[in-house]
Amino acid sequence: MSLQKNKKGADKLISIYWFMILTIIAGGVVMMVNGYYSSPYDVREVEGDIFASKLANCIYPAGTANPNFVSVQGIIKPEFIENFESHCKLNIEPEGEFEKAQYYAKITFYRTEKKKSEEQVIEIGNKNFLVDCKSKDTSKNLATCVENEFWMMFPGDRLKFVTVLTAIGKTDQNA
Amino acid sequence: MNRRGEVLIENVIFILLNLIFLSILVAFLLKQGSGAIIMEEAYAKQLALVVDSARPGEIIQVNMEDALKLTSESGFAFDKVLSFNNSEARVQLSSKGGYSYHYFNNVEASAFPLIENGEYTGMYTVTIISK
Repeated sequence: MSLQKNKKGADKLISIYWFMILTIIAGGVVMMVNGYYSSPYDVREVEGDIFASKLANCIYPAGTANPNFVSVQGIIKPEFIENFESHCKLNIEPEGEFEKAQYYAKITFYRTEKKKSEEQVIEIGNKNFLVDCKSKDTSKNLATCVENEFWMMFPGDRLKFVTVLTAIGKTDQNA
Repeated sequence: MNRRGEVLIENVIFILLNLIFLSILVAFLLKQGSGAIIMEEAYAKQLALVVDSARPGEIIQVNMEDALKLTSESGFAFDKVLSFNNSEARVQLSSKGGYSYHYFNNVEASAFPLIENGEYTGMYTVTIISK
């Protein structure tokens, strides 16, 4: 009789512990799911890639040097660089909640792919992001940088190695 | 005889409570994944990237069936879900909230929902023109 009573008591105790374990598991699951869904989708790498493609297409559309960008003598036109954003149909000026531009791009022209002798550099956007690109820190709170490279044929059959480095800030929305 | 009946009821209740508990947990997980806030962000970012990679003259069709499902449940007008303003793609799936994401491509984008037989198809047409 007493053995039966003890068994009943033990069963109840197990039930209580069982629900306590379930509650702990549920709490853990809720916390993990909330943590996962509350972190935003980071699309900056894709955005940086598209940005770099857009820049490459602007200066070298369909594998031919843009005549507005390079003269027949093979010299990069300064007036194009001055109005680079409007020529390439870019809108990277800060708008809305952002006080500083959230984009940065650096196009570098080299003689060879060893990247030793920089011939010319074009920079647009927020130059502060260059520090983030050089940093070894992989924190999401820094700008995301993407580098693309290609060979470009200048008028006069002169080949140049071009690197396009893009950096996207927007840490509030992506990190 | 009574004791056996008691044990059976206790076990049934215990199993039922466990099932209810697990069902709530699964429902919570499913609701989290298909929530308006998450969907707004995902759509807005995807559409901003679509506009970034688009060229003037292009007409793009975007499948927003999940958004249609959500708005028909909440009663929010589907034709107000997607808009483009000040170089931002904005997606709104309920009367409160909404999510905007900036795009760098300096083009004019406009969006309208596709209607067939007087009903929304869940598709949006995005037109890109130069500024």
